[in-house]
Amino acid sequence: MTAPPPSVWTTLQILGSSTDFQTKVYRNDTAGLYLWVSYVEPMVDMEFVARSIFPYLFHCPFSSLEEIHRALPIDDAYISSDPNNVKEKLLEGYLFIRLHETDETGLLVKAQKTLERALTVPEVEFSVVGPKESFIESLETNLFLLRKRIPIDRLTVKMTTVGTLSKTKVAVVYIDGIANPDNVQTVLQRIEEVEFDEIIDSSYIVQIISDNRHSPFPQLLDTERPDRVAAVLAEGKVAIMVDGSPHVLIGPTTLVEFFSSFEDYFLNWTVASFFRLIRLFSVTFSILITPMYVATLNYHYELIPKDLLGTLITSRREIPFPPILEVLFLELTIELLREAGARLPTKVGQTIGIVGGIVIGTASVEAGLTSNVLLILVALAALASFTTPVYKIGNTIRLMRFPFILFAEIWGLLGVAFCFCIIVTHLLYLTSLGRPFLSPLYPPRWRDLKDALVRLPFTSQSKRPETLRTEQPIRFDGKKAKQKRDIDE
Amino acid sequence: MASVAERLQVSPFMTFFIIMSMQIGIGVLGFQRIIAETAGHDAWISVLLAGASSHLILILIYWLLQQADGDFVLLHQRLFGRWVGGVLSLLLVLYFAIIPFVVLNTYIEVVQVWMFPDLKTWEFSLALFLLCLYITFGGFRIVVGICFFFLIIPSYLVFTFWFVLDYSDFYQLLPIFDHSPSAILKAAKQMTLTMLGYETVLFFYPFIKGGKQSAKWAHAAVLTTTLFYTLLTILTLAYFSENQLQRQIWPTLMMWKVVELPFIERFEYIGIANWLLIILPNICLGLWCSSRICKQLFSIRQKMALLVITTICFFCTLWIDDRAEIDFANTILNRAGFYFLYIWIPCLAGITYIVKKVRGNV
Amino acid sequence: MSMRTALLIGVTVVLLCGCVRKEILDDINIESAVGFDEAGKEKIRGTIVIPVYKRGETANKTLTTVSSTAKDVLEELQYKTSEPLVSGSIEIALYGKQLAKQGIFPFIDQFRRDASIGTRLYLAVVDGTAKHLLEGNYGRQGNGIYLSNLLKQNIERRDLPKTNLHLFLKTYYADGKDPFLPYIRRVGEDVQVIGVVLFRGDRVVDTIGQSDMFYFKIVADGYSEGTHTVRLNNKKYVSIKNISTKRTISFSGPKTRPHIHVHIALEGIVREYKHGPFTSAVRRSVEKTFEQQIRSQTEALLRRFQEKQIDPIGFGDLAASRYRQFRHRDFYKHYSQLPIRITADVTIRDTGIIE
Repeated sequence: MTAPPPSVWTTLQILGSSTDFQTKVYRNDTAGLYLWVSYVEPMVDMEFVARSIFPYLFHCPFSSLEEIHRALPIDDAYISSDPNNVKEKLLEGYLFIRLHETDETGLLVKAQKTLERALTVPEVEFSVVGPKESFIESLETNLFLLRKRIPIDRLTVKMTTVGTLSKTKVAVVYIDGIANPDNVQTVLQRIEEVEFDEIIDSSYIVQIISDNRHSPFPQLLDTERPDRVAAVLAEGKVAIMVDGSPHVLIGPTTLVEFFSSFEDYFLNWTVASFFRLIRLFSVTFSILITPMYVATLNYHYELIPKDLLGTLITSRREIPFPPILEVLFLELTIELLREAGARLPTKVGQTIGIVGGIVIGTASVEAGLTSNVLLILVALAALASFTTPVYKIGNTIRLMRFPFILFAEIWGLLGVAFCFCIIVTHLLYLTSLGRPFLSPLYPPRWRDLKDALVRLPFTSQSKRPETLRTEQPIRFDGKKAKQKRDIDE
Repeated sequence: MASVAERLQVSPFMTFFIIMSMQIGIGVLGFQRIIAETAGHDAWISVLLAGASSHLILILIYWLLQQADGDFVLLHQRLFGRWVGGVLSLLLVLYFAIIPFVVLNTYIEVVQVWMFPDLKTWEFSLALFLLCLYITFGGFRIVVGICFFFLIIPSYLVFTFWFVLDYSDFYQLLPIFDHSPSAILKAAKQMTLTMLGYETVLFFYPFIKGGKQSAKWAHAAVLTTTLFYTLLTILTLAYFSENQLQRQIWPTLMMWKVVELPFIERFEYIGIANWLLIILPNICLGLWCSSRICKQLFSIRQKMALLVITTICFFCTLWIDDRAEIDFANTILNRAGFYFLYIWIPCLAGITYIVKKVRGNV
Repeated sequence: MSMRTALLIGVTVVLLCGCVRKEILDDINIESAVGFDEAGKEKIRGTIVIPVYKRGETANKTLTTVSSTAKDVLEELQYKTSEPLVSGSIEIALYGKQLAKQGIFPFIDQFRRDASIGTRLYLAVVDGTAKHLLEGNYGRQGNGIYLSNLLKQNIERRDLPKTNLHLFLKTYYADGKDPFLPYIRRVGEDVQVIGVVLFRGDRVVDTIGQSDMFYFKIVADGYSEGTHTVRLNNKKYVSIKNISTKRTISFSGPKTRPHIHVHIALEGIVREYKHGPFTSAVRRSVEKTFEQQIRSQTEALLRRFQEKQIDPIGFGDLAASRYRQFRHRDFYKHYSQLPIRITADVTIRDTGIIE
């Protein structure tokens, strides 16, 4: 038995099974007409309707839908008889006005309720200097924040919808003439191919369109700062904005970008480079220090300098566990603290933090369950892993520690070296939108190194990054920026 | 002509890293003793000679590559017919297949003597070969990435030799040329195994963008390796007395014993762990080259060839595991390398030249 | 997916079976010093010192046993400990005087073959028995560190020439040089460096006392940094500190019977002089006296070496670097008669802070 073709009437019937779908009858005295107005109540801004629509609707003289259309001062209104369109718009918060109860044609008028968060300070990527605007959940506002910063005509926005149930609007933004069309095409194509029912957040999109889904390393950068998106669009990247998500995705990206905070660009380049190097060092320290502890204490006591030997031995003397158990116990405790701290309500959170951090730590040392040296190392390593400006890579780093610890337990230093080889190989496999993930380290791009591990001054970065293969590589005339003068001239 | 899609190719600059990381392998740990036995304190001259001759052979190699349009297997076929050419290429498959397990076995032996006497050969070998499969299955670009990183990252080890200077007597190198030229030449021949590595260019040439430009980088690599080895030899000769050197199987490792950093003593353990990074490209390139030749000869999938060759190498590491047998394998590799590079390549170049004159082209 | 599963299986197998024998830091006994003595006919007494770490000072525990070979001795000591003994951190190895006279090579050899022993290990010969010396309690960080610091400090700032396991082996195996080691003695609760012992091969044949160490170090190492007291002829003393020393050894004549010329150039400053102002006349006389002293003392030292047929300075090796096709055998045939000429040149730079 075939289903009857959809009609507006059946659509309204289906919608009518929800109590929040209303169809009300009003009478326009002036025209002597009855009007059937259907809408989904939670989606409609009743105040706006009462202020801007109903006065015209109930008091103007008209005799047909077209005249109503002309009379209403609402821009986004049109006449439609397509049931799917009607359904879609009703669910978005449009009013459906008909002249008779059984009419198949009606006027759709936009009366959407917009309720959004006020613009706030970025929570994850807070910076001391520089603008403090952050994206919010509404796509329109986000586009506004972005277009404000790149007010040129070639800033292109392409909108699509993804998600069969959520019908989320996704906007792909790029600067035409700078961004490589291949990158854009890849993004657009992948988003088209997304098959999912409910897309809640941009991170869903990331996980679905990533090049290597099984890798713990993120391959698209996400940010909540409009200034960062504007800067990278100028470099030639592509941005993906998802309605309902304050995080905007940027691609193609490389590993070194995950360690650069946007604040680096607001500081002097020497200071910024220094901080970047500290960050890289702290990440390496964070990953390697606990495995080195395990490896050295298990197998390589000869590596420890004599002066330190006494301290280590006395600190470990009362501990009943072998180093690996000690390390795992402490690492898991720190992860526990972190997870618990993330879910506790703020009032309780601070107390638990102090209790957990100080009391448990000191108490376990006093009780002889862990050694104080290891406690310091693990705490420092945990702290160091939080220096990454991008939240996602911090998680990956905390995860990375565990394979190293396991290999250090089996083969000591050799295991650490072996695990390192595995990680490097894995990173070599990764691509971001088809571009190598480890660029500019490998394949080495000398031009791009100016903004990778250190950040050289703006005047020396007159070309756009090579990895993006932009259509217009020159940003500004580099030679003009420098002027040579002799002494006392 | 073996042409390769452009997206799979690497820039010619990478040739430097590929060749240098292939050359620096397991030989560096102990070559000084062998050449000092023949040429005494003039052994560093042998190193320079070996390097100079390598440059000459490299020139011949590039000339051959130009003649053969980048396809060495095809060259064998064209010159000697399908069957004989095939056999010759098959010998090369064996040659490149021996390298992984000789390198790995020697390394495992070093680890077993210096670090973990009860490390089971099979498990470390299994783990390493699995890792190499992971690397080689990613294609040439990943192998080159490994060559690149694992040449740069361990390069800091060069600075550790600073500590050796305190205990070195450079007058031990005098007088220069105190040994007969034949001894010096013989020692140069013994250096072949340590200098081997640049012959791989015969097989990865199609993967280089703008093949001819890579010649200068290849020569730069051989030059840097030669200079590094010469420096190392000079340091070794000054650090040990001659008789003492003869009693060290791995002089380079002994030299690391004297390094003393403020937070680490006994640096040789770190050196050995880092050495894993240095030999990994050797093993991967060897596996890649031999499977690539197999692919061209037998038209089988390279992945299949890789699996087969790796399995055979793995079993070889299990069976050939005592000191004398490993030494023997090293000697065979040395001889094979010498005959391939210094005898076969010039002969081939000569034959190609004649054939070219006669036939017009190859 | 089959590749992935194979990989996973491989990884799991490796991880499960992959263990190597551990030496967990607090479950082992770390030897920090060893000593060997003679113990009757064909028997060796071995002593080891194990630091006992505590908060604050480190105590020492000594273990000793007697056995017939060097290897056995250290192995037998395992019977006396509850935790395994490991030798990777040995700082110093001592040899009793009697044992050293009979030859110490077997004991050095076992260090050479053990991959876990560093080549910065110090070696020394004890005036007395190693056991007696090791049983004392010196310093705050344990005997091993105390002894190695003692030697290290004397090498860097005083008159002990550079020496450790590597250098000992280097000179032992060299054809043109003979090894030497520091000579120490226990004095109450301290240990003193009292000289240098000289070896022929691996046996002790001679000793250099404290007064001659200064000259020996200048000729052997080529530099010295210590302070030396010059005695002037009229019972006056002046104390000179070395700033820089340079020693040049040159050979002339045929390679089987070369003439050896040792030239020492020394630059120093006055440390202490209490007999009036230090005028330039006084300075010159001090310089001359010092030169004279250097000449005579060094000459006596070298003469002694020639008579005993030992070559700790390494004239043989130095000559080998000057002559082509040198044969050590021919050189040493006439070693005791080789003419050695010493010249010295002392310059006193200034007089310190005050006049």
